[in-house]
Amino acid sequence: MIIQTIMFYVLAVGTVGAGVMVIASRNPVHSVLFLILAFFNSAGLFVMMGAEFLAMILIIVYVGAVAVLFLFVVMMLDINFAELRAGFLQYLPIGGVIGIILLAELVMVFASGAIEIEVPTNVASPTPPPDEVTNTQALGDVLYTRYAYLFQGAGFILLIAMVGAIVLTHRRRTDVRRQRIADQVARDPKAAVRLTDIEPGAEGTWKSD
Amino acid sequence: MNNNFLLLLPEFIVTGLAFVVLGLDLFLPERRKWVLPIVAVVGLVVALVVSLRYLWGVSDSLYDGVIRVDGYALFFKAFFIALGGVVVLVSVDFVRRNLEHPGEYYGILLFTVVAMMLLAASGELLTAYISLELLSFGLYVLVAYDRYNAKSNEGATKYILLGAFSSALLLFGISQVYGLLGTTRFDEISSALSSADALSPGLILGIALIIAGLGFKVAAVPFHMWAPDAYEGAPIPITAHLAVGSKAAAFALVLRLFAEAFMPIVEQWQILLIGLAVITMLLGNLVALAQRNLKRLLAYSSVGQVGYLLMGVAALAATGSGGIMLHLVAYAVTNMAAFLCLAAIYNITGRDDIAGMAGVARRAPLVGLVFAVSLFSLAGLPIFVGFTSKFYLFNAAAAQGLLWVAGIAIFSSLISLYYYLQVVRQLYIEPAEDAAPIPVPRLTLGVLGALFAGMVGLGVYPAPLMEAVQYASDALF
Repeated sequence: MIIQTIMFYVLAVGTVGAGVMVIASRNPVHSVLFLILAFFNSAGLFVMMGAEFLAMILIIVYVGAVAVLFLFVVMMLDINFAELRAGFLQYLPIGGVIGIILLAELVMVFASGAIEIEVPTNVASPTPPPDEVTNTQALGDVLYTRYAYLFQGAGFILLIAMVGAIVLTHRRRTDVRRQRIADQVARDPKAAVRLTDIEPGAEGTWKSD
Repeated sequence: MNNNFLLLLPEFIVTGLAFVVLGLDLFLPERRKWVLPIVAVVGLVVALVVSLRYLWGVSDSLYDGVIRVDGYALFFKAFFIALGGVVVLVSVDFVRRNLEHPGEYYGILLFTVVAMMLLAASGELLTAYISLELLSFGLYVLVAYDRYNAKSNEGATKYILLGAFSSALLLFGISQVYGLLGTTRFDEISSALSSADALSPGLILGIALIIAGLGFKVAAVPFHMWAPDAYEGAPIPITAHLAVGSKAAAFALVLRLFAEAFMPIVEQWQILLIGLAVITMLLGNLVALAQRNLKRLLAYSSVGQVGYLLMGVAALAATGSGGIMLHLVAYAVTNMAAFLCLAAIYNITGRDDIAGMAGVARRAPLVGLVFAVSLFSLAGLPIFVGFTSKFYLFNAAAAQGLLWVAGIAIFSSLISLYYYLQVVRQLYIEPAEDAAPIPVPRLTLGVLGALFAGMVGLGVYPAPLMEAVQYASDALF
């Protein structure tokens, strides 16, 4: 029990600390690396809550894809972050007020005890008990059977998004020269060479093309 | 759980068709691309025949009630397949002249047809959400398809941003309903609602958010801001698809959702829908008066039509879904004809403003005639199908005791007659700037003729359609 408590505080402090460093560090690459650290720590918290599937998804999707994408964007785009950051503090008053309001709301919600932390009892199709079935298995039981259409529908959505992104941004480039062998073989001197008489000394009659 | 996957045969066929079209596009040289729409139409006809042949009279469900196969789903399935076929036919000439990459165009169009079919068949909130997203994603791409046109880009950007926003509202509403009732299936929601003694505020918030999210998708008035820009920017066949298909699909969901899931608390949402309906029909028709662009005019007119349909949904408890479904079909046939005429004119003259219609009746007599008839039918003049369906819809509202709403609907119909007649005046009375005849391809003439026959035929003799609608709405109650 004591080990669990220690682990919780280590992971929680790690998450919050990394979160603060994401917005505090000067170098944007460091920010993204701290973001990844925050993801790992919250994945640890998820495992402690028994939500191991969510933890794995967080690591695979957010660390493996999203954060790496961020890293690429940060490294490849030439954005002057120091300039973006200038005048950062002038938003402190309004940001602070919003933060305090949100904090007060959260405190009020938890202090009033209006929300039941337990799942409502009138659930018509309850989830299997967490002690008997791991949540990966519980998800797997329904994802490919009852919700097979949802799974495949989501796949079609991704396919349309991919096809659409390509078709809307693809362009035939005219500024590169590709080798068209058929055209080269079919060339004949009549079409390729042009003879012009030029008056000696005349200006503006010669054009290159 | 035993799934009879043969019940999904129409969806399988249309999805497979989408992949065939996308794949075929890779191997066809540029000058043979005309094969693609033919393949698409033939495939859709096969799907239509299969669904009518095998699913007639079937009442079943798949995946534990997630997807329903019943008369209601079949009606909309056949409707959307036919609609998809018409949109493909309307597109043939337009795409050839104005757009690049025809393969992906027809492929994504077919995916949106699948999404619409599944939307009408979904018996559960998440299934409906996924189908709605599938439809929306396809439409986002298609609206932006005219990519060198700044208006197309502008319309698509607004559509994507507001579409994503509305999806967030819808999902939040769904999560509220799931969190409080513990289910997303329509029949289970219904039984949970009828056994609950008092409604929690959270549940009402959830249902209001679902109505708002769906309101965005059907472009009902406070949520209609994206519609005129998206309609104006989109390629004309896609504007027709947006105006007819996506709207009918969203209403197919709305009808099933309210009839099967939310019916026990009808008093709670009825007043909300009446309010939406009244401001939608008034504002849509009034703002349409000020439009100069014909696509924007038709956009606002379709916003007005959504008002009539919402009035029908508010009267759902007493009179059922018949009037709404009849009006959806009438509106589809009529609007398709109007947009096809606009596309035929735009292909040659490059004009889609109202002044550009001057003298079209002399330059292309058939197109002018069908255009005028479709506008009369939209306004709801007798002998055309628009009259019959509006009659049933307004009658349904009056039977529910919403006489004043029906009165406002009739009043806004009168407003709409004014701006439709403005267009007819341009078509028939104003002299043309350029008297040269507008050549119309034979395919367009054929489709126009069929739609014209539909508008007049269903207006004079609506009995077969009424029977089909009756069969479909019997499945709902």
